[in-house]
Order: sequence, then structure tokens, then C-alpha cells
Amino acid sequence: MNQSKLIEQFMQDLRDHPGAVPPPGLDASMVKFVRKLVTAERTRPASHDVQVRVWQRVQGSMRPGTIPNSVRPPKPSTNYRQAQVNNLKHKEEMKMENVLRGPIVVPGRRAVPSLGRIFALAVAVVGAVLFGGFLLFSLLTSPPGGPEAVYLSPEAANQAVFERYINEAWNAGKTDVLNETLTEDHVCYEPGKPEEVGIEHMAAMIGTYRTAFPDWQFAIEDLVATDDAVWARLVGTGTQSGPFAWAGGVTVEPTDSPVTVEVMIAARFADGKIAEQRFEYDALGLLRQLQVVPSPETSLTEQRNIEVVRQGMDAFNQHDIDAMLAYYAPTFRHSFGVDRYAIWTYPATVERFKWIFEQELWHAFPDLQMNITNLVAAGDTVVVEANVRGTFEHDLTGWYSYDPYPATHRVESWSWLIIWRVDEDGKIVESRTYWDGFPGTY
Amino acid sequence: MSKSDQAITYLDTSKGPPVTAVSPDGVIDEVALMRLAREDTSCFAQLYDRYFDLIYAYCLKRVGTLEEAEDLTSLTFMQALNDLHQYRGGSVAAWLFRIARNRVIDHYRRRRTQVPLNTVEFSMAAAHPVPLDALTQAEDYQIIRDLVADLPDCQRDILALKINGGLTADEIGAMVGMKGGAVRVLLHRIIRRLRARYEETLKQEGSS
Repeated sequence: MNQSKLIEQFMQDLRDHPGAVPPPGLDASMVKFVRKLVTAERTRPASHDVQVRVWQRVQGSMRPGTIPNSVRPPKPSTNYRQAQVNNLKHKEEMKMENVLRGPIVVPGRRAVPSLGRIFALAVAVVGAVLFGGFLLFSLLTSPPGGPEAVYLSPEAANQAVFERYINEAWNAGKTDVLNETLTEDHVCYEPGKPEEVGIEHMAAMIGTYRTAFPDWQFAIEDLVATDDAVWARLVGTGTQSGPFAWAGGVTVEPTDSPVTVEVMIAARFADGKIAEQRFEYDALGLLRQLQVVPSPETSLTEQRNIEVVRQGMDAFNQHDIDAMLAYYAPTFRHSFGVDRYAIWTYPATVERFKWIFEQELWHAFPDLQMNITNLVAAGDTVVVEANVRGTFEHDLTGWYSYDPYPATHRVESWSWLIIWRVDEDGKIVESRTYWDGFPGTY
Repeated sequence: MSKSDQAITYLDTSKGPPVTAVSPDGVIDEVALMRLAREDTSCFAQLYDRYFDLIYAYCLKRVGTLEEAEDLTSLTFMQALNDLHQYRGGSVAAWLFRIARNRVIDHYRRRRTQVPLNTVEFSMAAAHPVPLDALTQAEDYQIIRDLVADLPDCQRDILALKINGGLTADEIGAMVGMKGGAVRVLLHRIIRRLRARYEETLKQEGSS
């Protein structure tokens, strides 16, 4: 596929997922720029109020009786109200059925209805109809959340409590609502964090998110309610314009990054309140969107850099200078830093480099080997701590000190700390070595 | 009833789910939806659901103030509702965006004589007070936004249709009278040019 097509595809992917992985084959430097361009050019989404206002204007020019889902106010949801009505209708139908089933006929007794029984039946029917009508009327005219909640099925009640918890506590930041929607011994499970008991913790957690993302909104995308549980899939969105306290005392300073996170909540209910919540979400993806954790492409570059350094060190161990130089850019810098005999700080020429290794080190230590004891890669830098070991068989002529340094004919071992910098093309452009000198030379 | 309840008439779901045009594999057939929308306004509401965010984002990017974006989005959907019978098949996104684009052009014609309004901060990557390490990034975004603002209007339009409107190159082509391939190439060229200028700017800033 050509670059134009790849760019278009990547832009489309970025629209849907800000952390999208670029399509294979797209030029790496282009990936960086397209990502920046799309992020810079994106605009904040309209608030719910704007969506409602625009719809009301459009609605002015159309037949009444219809409304898009996105414009519905979060409370009360249609399902919730519909569930109330259905429940009530069902109860009334059951009552009527019982009444109309009439007296039970016992064999051996005359089953002729008396006038009194017919009258009683009529009174019961009229009474039930009036009562039902009254209940329906009061339900449809009273405000939501009022006494009609009595008629909710356990499933609908749990759903209503859950929706209230999300819409008021999370989306509006009214943490008082937690006292009415969570049990006192509420347990919260979050991936990678210890379980936390109590309402206070949830208030703090919501506070953390609303401090970091003042415009935080959870949209309930899917929801399944049973008589003791609610499972929901939510999509949270927000812009990190405040400090974000992550676990372990780490705080992410405001990055102004827009984030979108899909969250699953499994909530268990007890006594009509949420007693336990298990959160599952893509924590890594969230941190990536905040650019605190490198994207896969950065990680891949770091992996590549590690590989380059390892191969360069393999060539060192094989005492093969040409193979070694193949990993270096033509204009690399090389230095030995802190030794008190500080020998050279320079932009090293290739000849000098060859001389150090071929004429001095590998000649003096014919079996010289370097082994990695520690390795860290970040961005374009790889830091290696290595143990260097070899038999000092021939004199050093001037690399280690200005004067010749006599061979000890012993196995010598010391440590090097090497800082490598690798460019975009995977070539080493700088290596700086710090070391403690040969043993016994202090 | 609360105020918002009174202002809005709800979709009556007691008679079953709203009429829609969903294929057996769950994909919404927008062309069928457009046909249904002429008879049943609940289908238009579904179109509104699908396209509000995109149209709004496009208008906001093009005009730069929240109030104007809201106005233009309203006008776009009002005209779409009015012109439903003029829809003759093809991409619904392209049809809606053509209306939005014409509204934006009208808006510019009218505004030419007016004093420019105060623009508000609306970008996702907005400039809030941020610590030093995030500052560089915010500056980066600002450099890019400035460079985009310097592009010729037609190029800015294509970028907005792509980034904010989320249209495919083929849909943009259908709107502006180009082939999809040509739009892709143009987009590539715009981005390459932006990138070159961006790198130049960074270099200049670095040397100063």
C-alpha cells in the first residue's frame, strides 16, 4: 500500500483511538507527525447542553414525538420508567385475575353464588380497578425517585441505583449520593491496587478522577441487571487538565491530553445498594494516552537500540573491529570520562578507535571479554553496566596512561558503565565509558 | 416533571423499539435510514445521533467559536431535515457534510464585513497553565495549529473534513468533485508540507 493510503488509514484509526498503532509500512517519522497533527487539530466535543439546544432548534421544524438517544437527559431513563409501568400493570393484572377466578367450588356442596357473593365480587372488581387507576395515575404524575420506587422489580431498582451512582456521583461529582447508593462496607477492587473498604474510598477515587479530569464523563454503553448484580460497560472520557494521583504516590502532572477509556464494572448489590465493585479497565492504555508510558512504537525503538548495543558488544567480544564499527555512525563520539588518568576526551576518529582496541586493549588482553551485568534503555539512550575481564599479557603502550603500563600476567577484572546513544537509523552516535581503573592501580 | 422533561417529547418505546434500518449483521443501512427518515422522524433522530459530534467538530474547527459552531450545526441539521426528499442515494456523510460546508462558506461570506468575534479556547490540546515538561508539548501543538491556520482555505477545509469530520478520502472526493485517490495524494502533500515547515520552525527556535 502506498504512503498516501497508509496516512489516510492511520488518520482514520487515530480518530477512533487516540493511541492507535500505525499501520505497518508507514514511515516512522511520518507516524510521529501525523499523531501530533491529529491531536493538535482535534476539538473538544460539544457538551450535552449544546446537543440538547441544537436538537431543540431542529425539533422546532419537525413533528413532535421523537428524540435521539444522545439528547435524552441521563435521568430518568426511559427503561427505568417503563419498567415501573410494566411492573405495576403486571401486578394489577395478577390481582384482577385472582378476583375474577371466583369462589372455589368444593365437590358435594352447592355452588350457586349468593346475591351477597355477587355483590362482594362486584365491589372487589370496582375497588381493584379504582385502586389500580389511582396507582397508575400517581405513578405517572409524581416526580421520579418518589414513593413509586416501591413498585420496582429488584432488577430495575438495581439498574436505577447504578445509573444514579454513575450519573450523579461520577458525572456530576455529587459524592453525597454515594451514601444512598453504596453500602457502608462497600468493597472496591481495581486492577493492580489493593482492595479498599468503605464509602470514603470511593469518594476519594471519584475526587481523584474529577480533579485530574474536571470534564470526566462516563457513558453507559451496555448494562445487564439481575436481582443482586449489575454488570456494565462504560466509556469514560475526559481531558487531564489537573494533577492525576496514580497508585504508589505517583502523580501525573497535567498533560492536557484527551483520554478515552473503556471500563467494565461488575457490581454486587445488597439491601438495594452497591456492596462491591470490580473495575476492569485498560490502565496501560490510559497511561499511554497521558504519555506517561511510551507507546508501542517507542518501546520498539528501545528494543531495537538494545539489540544494536548487544550486537556491538558481541563484536567487541569477538575482537572484530570492522564488525564493531558497522554499528557506529560515521561521525560518532567516544569518550572515557572520569578516570583520574583521564586520557582522551574528543570526537574520536575511526583510526583512534581502531588503535585503542586493536593495538592496545585486545593486544594487551588477548582473551578480553565484556559481560553485561545491567542494562536500561530509555528513548535513544541505552545504559550498560558491564564486567570486563581478561589476562593482562602484554604491556599497554599509552592508552591507559601517558606512560607504558606493564603487563601483570594475571587475570584482571573491572567494571565499565557505558552510556550509548543510538540515532533514528539504528546507528550508535555516542558512547561514553566511565570506569574504576584496573584493580590495584589506585 | 423537570424543565428538560417538559421541553422534550420522548420517543415512545412502549410500542416496541424505534424503526431503524439495520442489516442482519448489525450494520446500519444509512441509505435505507434516509428513506425511512422522510416518513418517520425517529429515523432522523438516529441520523442526528450518528452525525452530531462530527458535524459539530467540523463546524467548530472551521469557524473557531463555540456559538457559531452551534449555530451552523443547527442550521445544517435543519436544512438536512428540510431537504430529505432531495437526497438521491450515495454517502450520507458526504451529503450531510456538503450541507455543513455550504453553511460554513455562507457564514464566511457574511462575516467578511463583520468585526471578528473573540475566539475561545476550544482545542483538545488547549493551552492551560502546565508544568515545564508538558509545556514543550503544548508549544508543539500550538506550532502545528499555527501552521495549519496559515494553509490556504481549501487545504484547511480538507484537513478539517478528514480530522474533525472523520470522512474518508472517497467521501471528501464526492463532496469536492475529486477522485478519492487524488484527495489522498493531496492530503499526503499537505501533511508533508506541514511537516517540513514544522521542522523548519523547530530548527529556527532551536537556533534562536
